[in-house]
Amino acid sequence: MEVSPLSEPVLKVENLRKEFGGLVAVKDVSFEVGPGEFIGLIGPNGCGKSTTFNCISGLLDQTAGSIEIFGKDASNMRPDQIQNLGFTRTFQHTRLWRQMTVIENLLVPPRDQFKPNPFASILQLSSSAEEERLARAYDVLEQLEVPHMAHNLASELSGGQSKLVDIGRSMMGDPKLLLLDEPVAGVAGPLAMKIFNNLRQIVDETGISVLIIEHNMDFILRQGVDRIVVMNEGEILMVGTPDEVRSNREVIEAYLGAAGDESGGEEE
Amino acid sequence: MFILILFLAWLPIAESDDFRFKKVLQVSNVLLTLSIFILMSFSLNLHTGYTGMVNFGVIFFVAIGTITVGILTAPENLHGYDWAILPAVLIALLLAAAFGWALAYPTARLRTDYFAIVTISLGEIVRVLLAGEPLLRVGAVGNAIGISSYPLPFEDMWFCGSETSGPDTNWVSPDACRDDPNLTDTPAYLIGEWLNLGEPAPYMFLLMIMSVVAVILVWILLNRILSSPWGRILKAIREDEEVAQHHGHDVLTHKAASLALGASIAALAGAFWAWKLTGFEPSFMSPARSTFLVWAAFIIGGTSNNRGMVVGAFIIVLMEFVFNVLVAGQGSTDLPLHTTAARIDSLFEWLILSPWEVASLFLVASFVGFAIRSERILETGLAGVAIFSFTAVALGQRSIDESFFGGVVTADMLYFKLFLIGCLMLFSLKFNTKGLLPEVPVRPERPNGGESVE
Ligand SMILES: Nc1ncnc2c1ncn2[C@@H]1O[C@H](COP(=O)(O)OP(=O)(O)OP(=O)(O)O)[C@@H](O)[C@H]1O
Ligand SMILES: [Mg+2]
Repeated sequence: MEVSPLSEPVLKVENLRKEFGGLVAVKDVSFEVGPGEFIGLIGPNGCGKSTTFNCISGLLDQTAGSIEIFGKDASNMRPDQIQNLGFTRTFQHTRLWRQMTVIENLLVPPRDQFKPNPFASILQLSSSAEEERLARAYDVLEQLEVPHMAHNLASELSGGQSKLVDIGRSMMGDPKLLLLDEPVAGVAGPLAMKIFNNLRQIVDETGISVLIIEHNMDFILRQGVDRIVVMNEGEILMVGTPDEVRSNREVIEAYLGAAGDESGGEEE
Repeated sequence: MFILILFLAWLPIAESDDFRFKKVLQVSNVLLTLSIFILMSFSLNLHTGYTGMVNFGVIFFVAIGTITVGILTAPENLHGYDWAILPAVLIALLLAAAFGWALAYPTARLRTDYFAIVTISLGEIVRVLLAGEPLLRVGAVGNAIGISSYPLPFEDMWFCGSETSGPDTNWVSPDACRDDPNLTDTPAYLIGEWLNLGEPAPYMFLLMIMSVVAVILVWILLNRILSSPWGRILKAIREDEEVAQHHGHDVLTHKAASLALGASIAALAGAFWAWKLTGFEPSFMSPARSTFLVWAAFIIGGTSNNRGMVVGAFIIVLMEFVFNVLVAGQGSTDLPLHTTAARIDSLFEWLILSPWEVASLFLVASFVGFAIRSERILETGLAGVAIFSFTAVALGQRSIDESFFGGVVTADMLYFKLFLIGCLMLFSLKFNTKGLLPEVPVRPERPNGGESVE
């Protein structure tokens, strides 16, 4: 959890390019995420945000470009190896383990179980570690206001609840770099706001870095995001603070449109 | 479960002087077979129920156990290696585990259905090899195919007690010990006396006890392992392997470990199978007698629940034995269940010889279904009409004459049994998709130490 003293970027994407057959989903993307930063990633539908995430997390092999995570070249690593560096991501379409209970879903990611010891499990040692994990999982569920669903199967959750459990699940892995793909889409307003505030708080307290894709400009511009990366048609349009983004004509034309003007007006 | 045990007691056998002995033999045989099937379904459940790898090749791992134990322990002059039984079993388990582990790597990128096909072919490859490969033939001369003449675990101790049998002793073989009335301090003799059999207890009894102990040990082992974090990880891999990988788990290694563990459980079943058969041919691996039945137990019993595996295996094995009795009953009037067998025969005869009659009955059923607006009855009726009209047209007198010797139509109980198991599976898949005892969701409570954070 220590913030690197040199303040090297925890995530460094350089000239990332991804083609699907003839379609260029990501043309040329370079950006950095520093330690303890809370960064938003925005852009119109289909501009390549999720594809960028997929390349970073190792789900897809990029066509060109390099990805560095915590100073290590992660361009050709497997997803689990990347994750073991201290990285976690969520998927845009929530993918919980459906035939497992919510609480079980939360108990899979904790990092102290990556090398399960068969002999310890046969002798049923390490039950205290299991209790700690369990207590944490219940705490996380409470923060997300879904503790009453703990014993339901994940397949029985509503869409918004699934999103919440997915966020909780990604927190259980204690990531130092967390990539969230529209985590609060479909979550009711006040709770979504609370989640943003919680994320901000976690970033401040623990010094982790968060990169979040979100279409709701209200959240992105006002809920404590440090910087915003704006993408359009597979390229970076600009990187800047919420204020800079709001006043940038290009962004307004490409993405924010009237809504941007309006919300900008409201703020002043 | 209780009903099933009662059923076991009811299981009829032919009346004779040594009734008690035969009963013990029969019950031991049923329980031994049951244990073997339970072990196999545990293995299948670990692979398919928990890890989500559809494995149609349980018999492959079973055969590794059976063949390895057979070849390693058979005497050298019969082309075996004359190993002691315990190391041979250990090697068999390790070998199966190695095959299981290795299987994970080439199949890593295959989708579940392709993985299933690979496992089917593995089983078939071993079966064909066993039939064709001279190196895999071991045992008594004159036995062109298969493996025989390997020793059975503790048989010596069972029949000879503190003595040993062998060429240089008073007893040529354990059988000689059994037939020697002077040896009265042997386990076989004592248990025979205790059960009032009038002769030493059969070796099957000891084998049954060993297999039941093995089942209990494996059960405890699996319970512990599956309730540990590793069991959870396996289920996560089953549900969505990509996401499990994205949460840091080395999916390939976990799958390999699961395959290896399941493989050695299957190989253990294989070892017991070898001892039960005392000599085997490639046909013991035929899918209709193994893979198919294990899958039936798996589906009927309830996936991802080892208790369900026990119940499923129980149902399948009992069916197997009832039908064995029925087959015998077909042949002779004094044997039990002769009337039932005769009834099945006459039903079958009616189905074959008067298909028009059957078809018209189904036609009536479909009219009834139509009248009372029950779509299900209507559909069943129409399907019946179609099938039996087709048989009536397609089956000439000649095909009947040629299929049934002397024009006597009898049902082949083997197929009848498979037919019934198939029906049971269909029924289970259609109306009770999760089996009799479905997976129990894990619902741990918040530990008392934790404080709630609001
Ligand atoms: N697996 C794939 N195969 C082929 N084309 C893909 C694949 N994934 C994404 N694409 C294409 O790449 C482009 C970018 O998709 P991406 O999912 O990255 O968009 P996005 O920015 O996340 O959009 P949204 O805001 O709607 O989620 C789209 O045109 C999409 O059709
Ligand atoms: Mg997207």
